[in-house]
Amino acid sequence: MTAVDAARLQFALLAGTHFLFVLVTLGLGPVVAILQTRWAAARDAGRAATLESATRFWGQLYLVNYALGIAAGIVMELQLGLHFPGLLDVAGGVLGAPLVIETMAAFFLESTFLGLWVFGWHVLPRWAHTAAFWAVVVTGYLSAFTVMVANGFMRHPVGFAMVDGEARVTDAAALVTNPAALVSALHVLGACLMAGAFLLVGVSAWHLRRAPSRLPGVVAAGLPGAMMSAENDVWRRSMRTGLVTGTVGAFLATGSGYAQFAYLQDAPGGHPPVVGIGYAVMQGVGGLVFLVGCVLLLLLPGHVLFRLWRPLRTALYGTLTVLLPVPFLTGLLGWVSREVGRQPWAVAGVLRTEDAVSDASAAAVITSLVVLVGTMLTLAVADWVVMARLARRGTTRLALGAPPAEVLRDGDHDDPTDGVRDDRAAVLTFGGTR
Amino acid sequence: MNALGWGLLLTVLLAGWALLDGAVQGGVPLVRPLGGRDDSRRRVVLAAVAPFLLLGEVWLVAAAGVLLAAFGHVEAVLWAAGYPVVVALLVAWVVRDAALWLRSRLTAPRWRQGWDVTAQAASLALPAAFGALAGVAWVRLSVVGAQADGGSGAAQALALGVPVVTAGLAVATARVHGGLVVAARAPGTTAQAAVRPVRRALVPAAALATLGALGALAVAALGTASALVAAVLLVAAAGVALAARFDLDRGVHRSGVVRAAGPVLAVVPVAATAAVAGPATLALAASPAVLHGLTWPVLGAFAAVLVAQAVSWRVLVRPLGPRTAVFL
Ligand code: HDD
Ligand code: HEM
Ligand code: HEM
Repeated sequence: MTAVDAARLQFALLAGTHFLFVLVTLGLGPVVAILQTRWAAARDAGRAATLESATRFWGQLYLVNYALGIAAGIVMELQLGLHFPGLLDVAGGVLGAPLVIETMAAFFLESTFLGLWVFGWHVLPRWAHTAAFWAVVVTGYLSAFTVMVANGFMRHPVGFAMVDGEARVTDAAALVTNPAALVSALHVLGACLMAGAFLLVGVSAWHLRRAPSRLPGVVAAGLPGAMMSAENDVWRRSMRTGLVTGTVGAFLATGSGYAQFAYLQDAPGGHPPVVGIGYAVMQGVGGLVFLVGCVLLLLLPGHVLFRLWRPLRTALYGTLTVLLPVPFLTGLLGWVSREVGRQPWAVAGVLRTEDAVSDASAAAVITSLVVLVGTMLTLAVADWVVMARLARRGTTRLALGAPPAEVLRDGDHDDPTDGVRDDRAAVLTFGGTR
Repeated sequence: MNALGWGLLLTVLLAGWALLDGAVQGGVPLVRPLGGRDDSRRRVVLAAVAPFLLLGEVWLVAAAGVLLAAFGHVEAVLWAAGYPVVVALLVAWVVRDAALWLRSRLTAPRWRQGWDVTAQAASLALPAAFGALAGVAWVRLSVVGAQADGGSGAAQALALGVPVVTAGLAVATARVHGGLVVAARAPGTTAQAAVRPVRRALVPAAALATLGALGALAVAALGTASALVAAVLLVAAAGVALAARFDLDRGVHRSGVVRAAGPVLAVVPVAATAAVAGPATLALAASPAVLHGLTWPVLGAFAAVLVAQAVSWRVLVRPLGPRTAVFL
């Protein structure tokens, strides 16, 4: 393998990993924000409790996902400079702007507000706490958009002039309204909403499918007039939210997806087959999800969806759970289409990929490929295992937003000796010097 | 904003990272020693540094963004010379983050203990890699690099020795700073126990700072005059470390010197590096057109960030209590 191949493969694998987390961050973010807003506004105590559970449950999944999303993003940022210095030499004057705005404006604020949201849970007033999460969502979308501006320039360069072999911005507005940035950002937004929705629907369906074994018979059958358990209420609400966002997401993704063909027309043709396969799969998935989503939405009024004939309902729930990975695989395929479709250019028509790669030795790049990709994938898998466990555990024992003493006690397995227990009691109540 | 302005912004961002993330780097290695086998005690130590994690590490992300946009050529020089160190920095950073976020999500004791060991190792590797990279900057962004390539023995010795010393210095200073943060925020006995490792780390920190000052003098002697500033800063930091140790030995835990020792020591590796490598860095800045074009968006964003961080710190930095959110 040459250094060029290794650098490209490494970038592709790490970007793909990063994007899997991004899909959930951007897709789940608005959902958590809306749940929390409705919780903050709820007057009825029962409704507030349900919405609080939902906010904390999905918020916790959001956080566990975010942890690795950040880590993968950090790797992305440094590897751009590490492996593609030629890109910065030639296009740094253009790419630098969106990337520095992204880090300074978007990520910086995003992480700050997220820290405030997590660790200020019991301190901030309810409305300020809700606003902090909305700020996380808005800055997260801002950062995604600036990345799309950078990547859109590489796909379809506009608004620049070459001066002494360096690209200079001549028209910043053209850079931002570049269809490869703007339309594609809408497209990514659709993909993210779909991914968040599949997560909501898949996890809720898993719980609803098992609900009968946990509840007294009448309630489980969902008969009119029966009281519903609070937890079941969370899953029904989440399912409804997921169906709405998923259908909207599929609509956005398909609409903007076809719109992207407009700017692709002037790009040189002759793609490898994977690009065509990607386009076909995306069209198929987008169209089907939209159609099925519309049908399921029609079943929502009057809770018809939750009262279908038992075997049909169980089968439907099972299918919805199994389909959870679909938007993620589709999203990856979309990126492979976009990035492979650009080859052999790093910046279409301006800079060839082979000229952008650093002159590090092949051995060094391959070593870093093995180390970085190996580390990232191992951590990603651990993260997904944790997310799956938390998803299965449901709304019991949520750590996010629980009182500190309760959280600190959650690992209590062993039967502590008296001495240890005393010590711990002191810690839990934070008694002592102050 | 001209190159100098951008250089100052970069220094401020790196110093902010060293200060905030340094609390995590130094605090996490205390989780096992102070927490012992009791999981809730371990989590109290983690809770003491938890808010610094998300709000601190973005300073380095932002610094990398500024490096990329305004000092792309500096980045290329550093990455080419310090390739393995950069990869190590990334791995340590990512592993530490994952370990901290994931450890408390499941309850199995083995899961938690395994991540605690991992987090401890990564929290040592992270400042070590950052310090080593700073040392690479001392070498490559001063006269030393060219002279070492030219075969000068003294320069070659410096090129090898400086990164080792700066790596050790970054580890020792983070340890002091993190321990003091835990001592200030954690309750009761945990806080008292956190002072002991601080006391032990102060003398090595002073020794490494002194070695670093000697290295800086040597760099200055070879021809990079700005390294003299670094020597002065490092000697001053060594003095603060020794004075703090003196106070701790007397049993005075809350003197001004002890309070100042953490922040001063945490920031000194960055400040010294800025002094040594500053002139060469500024000479390699992007063209004035690029720098001017980015000024207002970046300064505006930075102002917004400062406000948001200031608000957050007011809310989050208070001693642990019944309203602390425990998540890590
Ligand atoms: C759930 C995910 C998903 C779905 C259902 C679709 N897409 Fe997509 N597609 C993506 C996820 C995605 C993506 C991952 O988000 C990409 C990669 C880069 C980008 O901007 O979006 C993408 C890129 C992408 C590109 C490449 C653009 C370029 O090379 O610049 C084309 C032409 C399409 N899509 C077309 C479509 C069409 C016609 C769809 C449906 C009718 C469709 N996509 C549905
Ligand atoms: C997160 C979603 C992304 C994914 C999944 C992705 C995927 C890929 C893939 C598959 C390649 C290899 C193409 C090939 O060499 O045949 C690649 C290359 C590359 N991508 Fe992306 N990409 C993503 C986002 C971005 C963004 C946002 C940028 C820039 C701002 C970018 C910059 C690059 C560069 C510099 C290369 C290497 C040079 C090249 O092969 O052209 N990518 N990416
Ligand atoms: C070259 C390509 C990319 C680079 C250099 C990059 C860089 C980063 C960095 C440094 C972070 C961590 C930020 C923090 O500390 O808060 C991050 C996170 C994030 N990135 Fe990327 N990124 C790239 C591609 C993308 C793409 C294609 C998208 C979306 C379309 C995206 C969206 C996000 C989002 C939403 C986050 C928030 C954290 C999370 O993922 O959970 N990034 N990225």
